[in-house]
Amino acid sequence: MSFMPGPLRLGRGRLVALVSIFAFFSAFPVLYAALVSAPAQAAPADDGRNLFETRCASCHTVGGGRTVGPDLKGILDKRDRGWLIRFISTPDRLIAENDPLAAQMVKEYGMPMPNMGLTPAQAEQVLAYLDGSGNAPSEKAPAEETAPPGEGDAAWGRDLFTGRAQFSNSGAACASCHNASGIGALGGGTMARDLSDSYSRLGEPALTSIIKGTPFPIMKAIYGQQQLTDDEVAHLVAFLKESSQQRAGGNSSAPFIVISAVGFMAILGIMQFAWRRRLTGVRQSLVKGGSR
Amino acid sequence: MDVRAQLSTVFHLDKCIGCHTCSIACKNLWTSREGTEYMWWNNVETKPGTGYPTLWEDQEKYHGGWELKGKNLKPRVGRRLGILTSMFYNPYLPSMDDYYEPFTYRYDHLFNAAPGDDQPTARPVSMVSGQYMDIEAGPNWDDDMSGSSVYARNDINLNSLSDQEREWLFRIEQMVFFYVPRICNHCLNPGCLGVCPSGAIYKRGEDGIVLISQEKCRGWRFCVSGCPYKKAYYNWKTGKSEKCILCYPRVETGQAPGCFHSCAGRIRYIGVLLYDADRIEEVATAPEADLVAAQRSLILDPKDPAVIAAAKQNGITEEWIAAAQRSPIYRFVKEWELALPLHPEFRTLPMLFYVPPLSPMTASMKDGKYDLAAEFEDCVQASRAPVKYLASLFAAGNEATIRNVLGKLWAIRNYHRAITVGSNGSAPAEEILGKAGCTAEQARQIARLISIPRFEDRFVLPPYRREQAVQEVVEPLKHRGQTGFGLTAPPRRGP
Repeated sequence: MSFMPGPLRLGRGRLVALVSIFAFFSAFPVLYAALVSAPAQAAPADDGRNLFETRCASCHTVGGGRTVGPDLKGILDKRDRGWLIRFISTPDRLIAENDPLAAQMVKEYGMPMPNMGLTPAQAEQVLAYLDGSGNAPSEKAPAEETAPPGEGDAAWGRDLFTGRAQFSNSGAACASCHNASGIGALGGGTMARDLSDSYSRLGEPALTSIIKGTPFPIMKAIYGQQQLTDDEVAHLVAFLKESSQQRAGGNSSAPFIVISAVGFMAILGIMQFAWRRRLTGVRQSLVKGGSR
Repeated sequence: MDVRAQLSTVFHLDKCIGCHTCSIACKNLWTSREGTEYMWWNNVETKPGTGYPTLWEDQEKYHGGWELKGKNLKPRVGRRLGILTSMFYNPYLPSMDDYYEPFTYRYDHLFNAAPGDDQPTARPVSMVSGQYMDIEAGPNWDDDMSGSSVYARNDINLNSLSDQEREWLFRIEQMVFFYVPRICNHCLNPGCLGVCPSGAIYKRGEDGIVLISQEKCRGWRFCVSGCPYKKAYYNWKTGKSEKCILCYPRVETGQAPGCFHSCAGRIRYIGVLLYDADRIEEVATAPEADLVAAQRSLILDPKDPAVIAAAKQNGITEEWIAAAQRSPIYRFVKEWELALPLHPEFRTLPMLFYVPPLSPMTASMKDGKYDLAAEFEDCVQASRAPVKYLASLFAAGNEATIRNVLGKLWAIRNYHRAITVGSNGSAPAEEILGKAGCTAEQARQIARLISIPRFEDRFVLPPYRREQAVQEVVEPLKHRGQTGFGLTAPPRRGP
């Protein structure tokens, strides 16, 4: 009866093999998490200042005024320390839990703070640094602010956004994920936020800082190794400025729907033509106009 | 000479009364399963009419059968490349509406209805959706509807008639119709077999029955398109195609097929023909007008010693040769030249032959009297069913073939009338018989086989001896208990 198929006839050895394969794959997520978190723990010189400059400074200043996010000078006087640590380490969770303070911030600044991957211990170090710098106020404002780039060219910015022109460090075109009005009827990607109103929402300094610093985890992954140059940032900001002015003009999804509908009809037409000699209902056409 | 045997059949249309007993016998035997509701391996059509599925004869629409391209035959559905490129969307399939939506009636309502003011009725329900439906078509929807402006007038065989002849045909005094029962023709050059992408269709070596292997069939449905007679059907339940099997389980055990056995009018004959397989291609590519004659020439005389020797060389047994010698089919088709294939222009070489029907004479009012064509010579030309129409059905448009057959049938009828009630014509009956190309002895034999045939005259089945034949290839004791009834690999489809 050697031809009897299937799982009912599992020998003992095969069973063991199956279980170990299963165990290996179940353990996989744990191993993966361990590998990924390892470098973060291994990073040396975790002092607060270093952390602030690498993770926070693209959106926040200490005494430099509001940019993308709030000015953090004297933050420890305004907010509860425990809340701050939770917010710095896991802002996404707080926002998801509808924490009233977090919700208010999202509303005020027009975007949620991304999770920057800081552990509560690291958040403590950042707070310690902020506490210290609060006492010594003459910390320099972010360098980008102090050295404003030249006037951007909106047309060049559009080309960079759509990918017609390449970024000098070979970064991906913005339109792969983002849409913005003024880049043509088909629009850009829908994976990430529509940037049409980003200029009016955030203002020029904040926008510049975001594009340059790319603080969001996904953006960081994409542009971390392929940073945009200052000129390119300026061009993009100029384009987004123009884009936000056009925004009032009209709904950008209408042409897309029209193109889809026309394309669909065209494909139907081609199929109808290609199979024009197919057999269609014989009896119906005979009976039509008959007794019914 | 490559002699093969073919179990072949003749339907004598003059005797068909259109009772559909054959169809019901077949339905009860073979197609009463789920998935086969709409199939009628045997059906009976009224001519003029559009048939089942509607207008099946119109190959401009259905693309069945073969066409002559230069000197070669090409399936109308397409050659290999054409089939390959349209495999996932076969463009020439009849829709359910062209067959009909299968239905039954809520009979239980007649017994279980709540008491009410009105008598309960059995409303029709669709066998597809289970919902109440209005029946709009059926497999014999145009039964007896000779005058129907929808069905009869759209019969494509009427295309050969002039407008005046058509108009004449549909006048109430001249109205005529006859029945054409149809089963699979078990062709020598089957259109279904030629286009099957899976190679699931085969023609049995011993008797030429064309079958679809239910294990090899992959349900591409090109046989449905490729058969010009629309006698291959797709079973939605098993996902495979099915067709008439000429009741081979019955035939192998010495019984006539179900439709033959049950035929009330006794119109059906079955027997063995020997033919020359080497000449199939030559015959199938003959000019249209010669197709009937060419097909006749393919059939070999089973009493010819050379044929017998060649047959034996091909493994045809003495018993089969003896059956071929007694075959009523050979006499009808070859010896007497009375039976003709249906639509030979499809070039599939169908091996089911029809004796065309004699229809009443056309008549006219002369001097206030109903005047029939008087002279025998006028009989054929004055048939209500025009010769052109019959030629389009049975002779690929060759009117001379039809004239010969009808002339012979009239002459035989006249001869026997003269014997039994005395001659009423001007010429002696023998003389007319002679003109029609028939001897008195032949006329007596034909009349006997047509009008008073016994069971064993109609059904001359060869002995199959399958239980012995199978021992030549397999050792029965070795496989005892291993195979049983049904499929070795049942289709995995449906609930």
